[in-house]
Amino acid sequence: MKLPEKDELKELLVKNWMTHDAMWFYHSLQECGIEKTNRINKAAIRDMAAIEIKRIQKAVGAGNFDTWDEFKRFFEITMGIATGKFMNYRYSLPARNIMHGEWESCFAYEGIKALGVIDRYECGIMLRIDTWLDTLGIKYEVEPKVTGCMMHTDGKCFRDYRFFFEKKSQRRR
Amino acid sequence: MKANDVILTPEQREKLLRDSWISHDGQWALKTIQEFGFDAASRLNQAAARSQGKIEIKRLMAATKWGEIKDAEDFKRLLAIACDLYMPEEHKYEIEQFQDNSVLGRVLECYVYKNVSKAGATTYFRCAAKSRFTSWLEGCALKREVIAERDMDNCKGTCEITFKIRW
Repeated sequence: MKLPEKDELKELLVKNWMTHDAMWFYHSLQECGIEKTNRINKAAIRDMAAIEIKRIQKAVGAGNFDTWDEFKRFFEITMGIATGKFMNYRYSLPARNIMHGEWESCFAYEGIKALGVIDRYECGIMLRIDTWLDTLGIKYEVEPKVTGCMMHTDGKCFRDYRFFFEKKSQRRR
Repeated sequence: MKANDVILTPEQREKLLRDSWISHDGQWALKTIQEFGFDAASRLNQAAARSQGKIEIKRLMAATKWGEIKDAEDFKRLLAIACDLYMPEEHKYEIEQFQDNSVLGRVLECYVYKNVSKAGATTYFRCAAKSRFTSWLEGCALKREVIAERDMDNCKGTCEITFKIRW
């Protein structure tokens, strides 16, 4: 027996959390169909994600985000905490107020496809991120606006976020 | 917050994940209650716990390279590690092994009861611990029985869960 390394423990927790979520989805689907399951799933994500991001904000001692640099740093920390390697995403913050995220594969897409309802599934992954931003009171625009599963309809998934942080004003002497 | 001044310990990071996982589970239950009532939510909660349990224990065994569970002592050690990893800090419990090779988990303060109690729902919501632990034993490939005599409406946040395993 060997005790898992710290990063393995984190991966284990994230994987089991997502599996538990998937099991709720699966059993709810059996009980009440995809429309109601979508509604319950999204409502649960919204309320969970709002709590989640406030907890992370508190844990790292962050206040409101007045600048792009502060937000960028916080977002990087949050993604480091809340996501697992198996999620297979990449994101970049290539310029002030710009964020691009993309998925080579998506665990939610694979799971829901296996359940046979991917054509009617409404994405909960991006809802979690959008709820973080909404809860933090951050103004943003996102393209494309997708309710369903982009991996299913387009064979790839990405989002472009534009934020509205103003350039920090320079102090005059 | 300054750019480079945030360092979370692995323990803080794990606590955040565990707490969000529990919140997400709770939100699924709550939204299901709002949509379909307590009976359906209890049923789905137990089914999800049962489906999830064997996967989470198998993953832990794989990560620890545990191998076959040889005896009650071995199972008790695995149970202690699993509970330490998967249960939140506020869940207080003891684990004992008896001469008849059964293992007892004695819950002194239950985090699920605490949360359900806050929602004023202990009369209506059923505990899923037995489903989860039965599934853990299935995941461990042990011939077994899990005995849990109390439920949410009569436990007051404490209970005894006995794992009777045929070795």
